[in-house]
This record gives sequence, C-alpha cells and structure tokens, in this order.
Amino acid sequence: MSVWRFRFSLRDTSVLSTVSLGLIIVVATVLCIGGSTSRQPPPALSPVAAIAIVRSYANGWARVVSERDFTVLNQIQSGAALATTSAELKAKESAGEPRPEVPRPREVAVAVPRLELPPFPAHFLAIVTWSSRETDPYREVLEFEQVSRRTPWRVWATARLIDNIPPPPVAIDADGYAALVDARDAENLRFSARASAKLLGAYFDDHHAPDDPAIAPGPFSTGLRKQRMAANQNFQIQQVRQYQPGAFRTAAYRLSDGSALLLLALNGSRQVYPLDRQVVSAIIQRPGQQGFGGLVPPGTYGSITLQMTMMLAVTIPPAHSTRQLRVVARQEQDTRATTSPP
Amino acid sequence: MQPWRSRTGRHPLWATLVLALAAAGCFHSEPAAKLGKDQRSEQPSVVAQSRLTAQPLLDEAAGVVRAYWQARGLAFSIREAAPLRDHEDGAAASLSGGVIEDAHANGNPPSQNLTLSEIHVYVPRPERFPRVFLAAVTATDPDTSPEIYLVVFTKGARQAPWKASWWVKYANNTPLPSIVVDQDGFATQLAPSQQRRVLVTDAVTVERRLRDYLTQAEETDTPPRSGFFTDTADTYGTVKANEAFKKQSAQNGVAVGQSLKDARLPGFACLTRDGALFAVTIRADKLVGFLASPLVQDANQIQADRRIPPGSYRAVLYRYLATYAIQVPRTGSTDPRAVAVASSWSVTAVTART
Repeated sequence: MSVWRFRFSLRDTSVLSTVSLGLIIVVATVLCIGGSTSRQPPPALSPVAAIAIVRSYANGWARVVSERDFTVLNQIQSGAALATTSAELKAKESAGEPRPEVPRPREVAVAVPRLELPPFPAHFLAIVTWSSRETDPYREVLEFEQVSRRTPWRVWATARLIDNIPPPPVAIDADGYAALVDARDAENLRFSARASAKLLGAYFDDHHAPDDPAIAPGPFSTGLRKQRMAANQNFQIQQVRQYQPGAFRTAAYRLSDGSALLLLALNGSRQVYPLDRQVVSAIIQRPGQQGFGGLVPPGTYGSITLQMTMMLAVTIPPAHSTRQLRVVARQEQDTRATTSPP
Repeated sequence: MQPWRSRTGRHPLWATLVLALAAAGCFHSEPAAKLGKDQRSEQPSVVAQSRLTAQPLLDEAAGVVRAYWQARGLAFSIREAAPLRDHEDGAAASLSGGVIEDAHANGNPPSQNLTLSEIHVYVPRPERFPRVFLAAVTATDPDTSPEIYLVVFTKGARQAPWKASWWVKYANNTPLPSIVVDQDGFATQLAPSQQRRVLVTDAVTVERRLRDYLTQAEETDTPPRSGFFTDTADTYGTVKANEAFKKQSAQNGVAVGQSLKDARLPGFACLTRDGALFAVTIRADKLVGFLASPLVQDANQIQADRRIPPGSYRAVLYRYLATYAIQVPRTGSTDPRAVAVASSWSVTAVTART
C-alpha cells in the first residue's frame, strides 16, 4: 500500500489532483487500519503455526481414539466432524469393538489462507497421512476452524482421500499462503457451494437417476452408487438412502489447475428392510452387533432407519468450464438408529 | 514418446549428447523399466535400448504382464476362471480361483475390469530354468481407487509359457519396495544359500515364523506382539481383527478357530536396497462351530455362504490360501525385524459338516 500511495504523490500537482489524492490516502489508510483490503490481507496464522496446530490435534485425536475420551473430542472437533466421531465412538463401544492402535501423523501438509472477511471464523486446510501398527497408511483432508480469537482451533469436517493417488494440489503463493475462491455464487466457479451440496445430495439419493453428467466418475461417486445398486440387486436386505445438503463453507481453496477444493456435509437417512418377506421375514441383529453396527441394539425388526452424515471434499471447476465436479474425499457415518417391530 | 523423437530428429547434437551420456552409464541409477500407458505399443526409447542389456527381456516381461492382465480382467468380470487357465498356476491360480468362485457362488457384484496404468518389471539374469520375474502393476478403473499388485511370473522350461504363479495386493499409500537392479538392468533373485548369507533370515524361516505367529495368536486371548515381525496391518492388525471377530462370534454361540499349514509352494526372494522382498504363501483351515444352535441353510441359501447346500450343520470348514509380501533386512541392520507389507487371501474350499 505504501508504494501505491507514493506513486500518486509524485504524479499529481494540480489542486484537484491534490484533493483527490488526499481523499484516496484517507480511504486507503482507513482500509489499512481496518485490515480490510482485498488485495493482500494479512495472514491469520503462519503455515508453521498451522502445522503445530495439526500436531496438537493429532495428540488429542490419539487420546480420543485410544481412550474414547469425549472431553478431548469436544476440544478438538466441532460441527459435522464432532457429530460423526461421537456416533462412531458410541457405536464401537456398544458393539464391544477393541480400541484401535493410536494413529500417528506420518506426513502433514497445510494450506493456510490469508485472513478472510470478517476475520472470524478463520479456517485452514490440512492433509494428513495417518499410520498405525494395525492399518495401512491412509490420507485425510481436514478443515480447521477458529470461531473467535479466544476459542481453540477445531476440525469441523474431515474426509478420507482416494487411495494411491496424489492429494489435490492446493495453489500456494510465493509467501506460502493459499488463495481462497468465493463460492457463494457461481461467479468464480462452475457451481456455487450451495449448488454443489444440492447436486451431490440429489446424486447420492437412491430415488434419483444414477447418473449426473455434472459429476465426474470416481470411487466416491459412480463407484459408490454402482456398489450400492449392485448390493440391492444381489441381496435380500435392501438399503435405500436419501440426502439433503448439510453444512458447507462458502470459501473454497484454489487448486493449481484452476479449480477449487470445498468441504461440505450431507445429512441423510437410510431405510433397511427385507426385499421379500416370504424369503426373509425380518431383520435380525445378533448380540455381537456385527450386522448393522453398534447403534442398532440386538433384536428382530421389521425395518431399521439410520440417520447419517456424509462429509465430502469436492473439487469444483472454474466458471465457464465444462469440467465436472469431482468427489476427492469422503467419510460417512451412521449417527442415530430407529427400529420398527416385525 | 513422440515429442522426444521429433526433438532428437531436429537436433542431432542433443541426441548425440544423450547417447554419449547413456553410453557412459549416466542413467544406470534408474531402478527398473517403467512402462506407462502410452508406451505399451512401442519400445521405451532409443536411449533405453542402447544402455540396458536387459531391455529385450524387460519388454518381453511387460508383454507377458499385459496379456495376463487382460485375461485376469476378463475372468474376474465374468466370474469364470477359464480365461486364466493358460496364464496362472500355483498360488496365483488358487487365489484367483477362490475369489472368482466366491463371487460366482454368492452373487457378489462382478469385480471391476481394472486396466493397467503402470507396469514396473524386475527381471533376474536368465541363467537357468525355472526363470522368474517380478512385476509391480498399478491398475485403475474410473469407479475404483487405483490398486497396486505385486505379481511373480514363472517359466518352467524353455518351451513352457510364462505364467503368473503368485500375486498380492500391495498396501495402500505405501511406496513400492526399492528393488535393486544392476547396470545392465537386471534384478537379483536370491537363492536360499544367498539369503542366509546376505539377510537376517531366509524365506523358509520367514514362512514358518509367520505360521508360528498366527498359531500363537490362536492360542491367546489378546493379540500377541511379535519379536520377529514389525507390527503392521498384515500381522498385528490381522490377528487383532481375528480376535475381535472370535469374541463377537462367541456372543452368538459360534466358535471360530484356525490352524495354519505349509502351503508347499515355492517362494521368491528379490534383492532390495535395504534387504530383500520375499513372496511367501501359507494355507489355513478355519473351523466354524455352531455350538448354541446349528447353522440352518435355507432353500434359498440366504443364511450362509452359498457354497453350503441347504441343510442343518454343526460346523463349516473354510480352507484359505494366503500370500504375503515380506521385507527382510540385511544382516547387521539396526532393526532386524521382518515387515509384512502386503497380504491377500481367498477361500479355496468350503465343507459343511452335520
């Protein structure tokens, strides 16, 4: 900003110009004091500080996983992530599943944007490769959020990336910061955040047509839909799902190919019932709760309805592009179960 | 490949320089012949041909892999083993046969016909028969995550065809083993005597120790830690999951136990930067006993595996075949433990007992 002001003072000599210059300087100064310039806003935190936050999260996550510590969970997660982890821990506890080995962050990468307007809630993105003594390494994308200066950073959404392909390449500027793309409307991107969530909600809904040309093929889109359809065609127990848009951000992370990465959540429900009651008369959940998970108590049921949350990371092509929306990471969890008698 | 060729055509000086560097051995650090999708129908490059004695054999090996993968894709997608008969034997045939039979019998959705996106081949010097080579194959499909397989191919005699004799699906998000190739492009297959000289142990011992570990896990209530193997998904992770399954089954009045057997199939050892990669195979018999009430397989065979005919049973015996890729360190390594980096298994036979 100082270079920009200096240029004007050298060029303008007339009274009118001087007055204009004065006004410009005042406006620019006010904008600078308010921290509200859109050209180069200051960073919320440094990438080094962000990595330290991720490491601290990993320590908390280790306690959550190994000790099922809900107090720590509430300190490190919020929103959709907290809802799904809480439900997952309760289901595992109920089914008597053994506690897993502590996952360790083998690799951590962060994409930290400059300060948004308003400055809070602030966000940054992390891609973590986790490994443990009992699982193959897996990669996760997590979005951290700080609601106010006085509150801790928490993860509001997290999803597992597709195996064996490189993570999405977030564009980082020369200073090491990520650029955000406004996803409130379709001015910058082919689909707004809201439209993307609506599109995906309809796409995963089993009542709708299986294909949508706007969505790219992949394991978490066409693959998932085909898998679910094949299961219903081959097995007596039917599972029919429907989804609505849940929480989503309206700022996406610019990727090096011009598209943008957005995290969003879908809320859904799934009805489970026998196809032909002459063949399978009822749904039986045995004492080990292996069949339908720890949220469904042992018993014999006519049908089961499970509420679910699906968190997705999607790449949205730029405006005027003909490229497709791509699901690059996904995590889905049953959060509540209701049963009906046979 | 095309742009490179046109560039060298326009700039003979550049091409000469590249060839001179190749002749001087400047490219010898490349680990293996990597043949991408676009290189399938042509030789890798002029440079590659001039620098690697192994190149014709690497090209032949890549051709064998492509033909095998085509047959495999067809067999898995139609759920019939017939297309694989001329392409597989040994552990590979049993493993694929089990997967296909299970899918066919139980109406599992057909496997995706994964197409090759990348092949790495590691060919030892052709000194005697049977000849062997190792391939690392990345296979993709628009609807699935890319999958990486290690496949051992064997040619029993001069007139015999190359066949896949062993395969394993490699661990996700894990770098491939760093297989050493010499300046001519050949990998080193380690005979048992060489294994004992260069490495902390040999393939026979690794196979036995693996069975011992899995047997020990059967006899304890908590998953044991192995002093011989590093804890990974394919050792500690597997026995921990088995323990949990046994406990949950017991709640339903079902007892599960397994005994491990020597598969009596040949192994394979290939020299890596840190030691060697072993391909081993074991067999397991899993006996499921229905203690509380018998297993009643209904007329529609909905209740249990459809390889079990309708009827009432007190026990079912599942015969498994499992392949393991195990990295073994060199003698004198600071961590002498073996690391299981991948495993695959399939049920090769199901027998129900009244």
